[in-house]
Amino acid sequence: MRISFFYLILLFLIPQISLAISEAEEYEIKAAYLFNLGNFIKWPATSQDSFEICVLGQDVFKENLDLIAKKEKKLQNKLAVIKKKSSLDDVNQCSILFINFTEQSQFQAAFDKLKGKPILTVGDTEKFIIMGGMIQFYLQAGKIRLMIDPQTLDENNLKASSKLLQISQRVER
Amino acid sequence: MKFIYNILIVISFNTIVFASNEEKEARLDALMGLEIEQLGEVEVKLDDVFDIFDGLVKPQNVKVASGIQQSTATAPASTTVITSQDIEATGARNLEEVLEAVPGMHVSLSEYRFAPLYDVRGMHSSTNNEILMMVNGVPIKSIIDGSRGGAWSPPPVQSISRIEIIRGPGSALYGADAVSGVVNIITKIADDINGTEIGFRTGSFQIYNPWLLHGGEHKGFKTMLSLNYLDTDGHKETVYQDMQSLLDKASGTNVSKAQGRAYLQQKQLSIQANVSKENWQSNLYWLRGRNIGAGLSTTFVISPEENHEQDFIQADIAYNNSQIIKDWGINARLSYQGADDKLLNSYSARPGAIRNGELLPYGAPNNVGYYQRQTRLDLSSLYRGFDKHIIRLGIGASYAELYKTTWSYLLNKQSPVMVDVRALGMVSIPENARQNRYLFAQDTWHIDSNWELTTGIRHDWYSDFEGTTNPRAALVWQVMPSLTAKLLYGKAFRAPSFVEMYLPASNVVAAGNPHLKAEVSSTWEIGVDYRLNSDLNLALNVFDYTVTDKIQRTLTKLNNFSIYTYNNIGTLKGSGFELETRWKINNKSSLLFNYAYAKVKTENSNEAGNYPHHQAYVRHDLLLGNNWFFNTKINWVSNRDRPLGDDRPLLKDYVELDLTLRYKNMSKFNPWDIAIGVRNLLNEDRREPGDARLIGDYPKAGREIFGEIRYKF
Repeated sequence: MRISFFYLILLFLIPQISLAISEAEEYEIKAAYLFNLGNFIKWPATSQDSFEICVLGQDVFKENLDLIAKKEKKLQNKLAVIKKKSSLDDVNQCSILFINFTEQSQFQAAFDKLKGKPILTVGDTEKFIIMGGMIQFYLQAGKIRLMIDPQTLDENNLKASSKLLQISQRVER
Repeated sequence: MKFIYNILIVISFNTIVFASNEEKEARLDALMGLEIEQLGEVEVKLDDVFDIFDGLVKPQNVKVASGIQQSTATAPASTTVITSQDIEATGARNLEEVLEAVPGMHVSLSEYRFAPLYDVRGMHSSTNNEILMMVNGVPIKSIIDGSRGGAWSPPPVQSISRIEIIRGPGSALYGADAVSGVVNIITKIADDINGTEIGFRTGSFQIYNPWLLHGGEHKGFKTMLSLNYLDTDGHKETVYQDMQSLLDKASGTNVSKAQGRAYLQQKQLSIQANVSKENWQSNLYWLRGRNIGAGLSTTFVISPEENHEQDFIQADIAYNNSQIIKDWGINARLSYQGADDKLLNSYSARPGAIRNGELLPYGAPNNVGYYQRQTRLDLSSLYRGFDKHIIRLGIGASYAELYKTTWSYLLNKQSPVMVDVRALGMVSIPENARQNRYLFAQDTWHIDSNWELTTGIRHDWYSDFEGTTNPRAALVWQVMPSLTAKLLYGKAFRAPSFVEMYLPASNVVAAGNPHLKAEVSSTWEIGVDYRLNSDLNLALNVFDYTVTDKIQRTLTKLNNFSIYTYNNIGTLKGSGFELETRWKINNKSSLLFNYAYAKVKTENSNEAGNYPHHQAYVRHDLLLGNNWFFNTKINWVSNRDRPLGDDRPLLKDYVELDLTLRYKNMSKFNPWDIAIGVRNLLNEDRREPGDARLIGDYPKAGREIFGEIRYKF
């Protein structure tokens, strides 16, 4: 019996750190990132008067992106619009495209189709970048970090700011 | 008590970390106010991925209390909900482990197979006939003795979606045998699995347990399939005496296998399936057990040769429509169960024993078989047309049949020829059938925003004993948004079993009494549920019950000789309380603590015995890094008295300490889930009350280790 008391006490003495920055849900943080990325990428000039952030596949953000867009309104001096897409044929107006397929095989087809188009592809599935994506969220010690492949951006006429490159983990092919 | 004191001290050492209660919008605002590099410093709540920490404290809904979805805080009964997440987090491998977490429930052992007895609030019996266990709403009940029957096993843990438990009476809704409690095991459906999982579990006692789970849509039908195979040797803890030991002592022989291990091996295959489309759904549970070791068996004798075979099938088809016409919802279910049990080489005396002066060179082996089937139709309807009332009405019928019993033994004990004695007009228990019809009504009256009154009544008719009416009432008061109080009253009954009513006197063991009535109970409860903040929940339930017309075995003179027979003569009075604490310490750890006290007396204020006065359960979950979950469980069982006439030394208290470490990568496309664990780390000699004539009681397993691996695709 005594051993178990000891054990219990030990468990509770494991430091319980409470941070000043409040914690947030995974897809709240990712939504904030996704919106923010609009400020750190240079797109080729277009005549489009809105800036579209699109979500393709299963919508994991729920209302998060819409709530942000409602408040922030503008990106790149254009009206920020959130669009849910169900098909790849419908994404040409998107500046940022978050892709969330359930099947790994679907990604390959998507990246082939998007080749050369100035659409920033973002995802959080494993191997997203290796398969041909541009920016991938990953979890490190309970925090969400970015992985970036500047070469893929370059091939699609996009340019990441030096700050974004600085805070992201670079993937070299 | 010292144990509890220690725990309370430990808890008070810790300052409560209040989670920010900000609205989502405020949180998003704050996030958008950060620089992009600061976003990388915000901690992620992992709850939405593996929801154990939030899952432990957030309000849970139950349906078992009234047939309507309600939160556990306001449900008109004392309820507990266990989710698949709890099962996974605690690394539970069987239902016994899962249900130890229920406040006031203690898992004890029966002679036969050392099968679990789920004792609630101090109610203990050798067949556990006072609790109603259901799988997807269909009762699991042997009509022979009121137990769950033969070698029945519940669906494997990985296929369980949730378990809803009522501690206390449930007959006003569920009819017979819901006296000490109701356990409804709800199995997974296609959407709970969504893909395919293969898993394998192994560990001490040569456990070999592969499984497959699949959920998906096929030709418009949502389909779930579970396959599970289990092969184990069972534990080998020492049993000190069996009935043969007593016979040995009387006749000077030495042929008992005690002291020694009891045989608890088994091979078992189960298939479980669920198919649904729109309002229709169908469930199947098929179980086949072979070479099942019998423990002390029904004869209280250890026999290595003894083995049992079981074939069980449960199938149902149900139609549910929450709005069939305006304001009316309907549920209909037709179910069938078949259970074939064969007990082979069941020795009542070992080879070489001397019984009544006769040497038995081959012992006294028996082969016995029981074949049961039960068909049920249950219809219920929900009416929501009134402003402040929800009315639920139900009607149903069942037909249960013991349609074949087989029995053979050595008619001439000097020659090893098994004789089918049915030909000689002898039966272990006569074939028989029982019909039941019922009617129930329930009203949930939303008096105002703070008060709710649930009243219900059910009447059951039976073909072979007197019908019974069971009312209930529950008044729930929402004192503040964070505080709920309830006052509950309910009557319940237990149906006399075929053994108690029809066991033939020629059987020598005991004679049934066809004039038995149902056992009845009435229970009062007061419950309080207090949500201190979003991270800390406290619940207290106080109970007081009386069971009357309790069926007991007494020695009676019958045709000039004395024999045991059954009569409605007993009384049981129990009272006590359950305290439950659920605390999310921070976003990486949580704690569940519960303590239960019970005191149960028989008619002459004698201690009923065989249950723990004090029990405590602690569960601690901890996230280490990103992907490692560490779970600790402590189950403390203390202060078990012996019943009157049982003068053996008291059972020792015990503490069971279980640890589980699980690796679960939460990023997508990582399909592995691996766990290792140890059970009863302190290797305590855990004993459960055994037959009063035998020294040593019945053992639970010693220290054991296990590993589990799952792959999902």
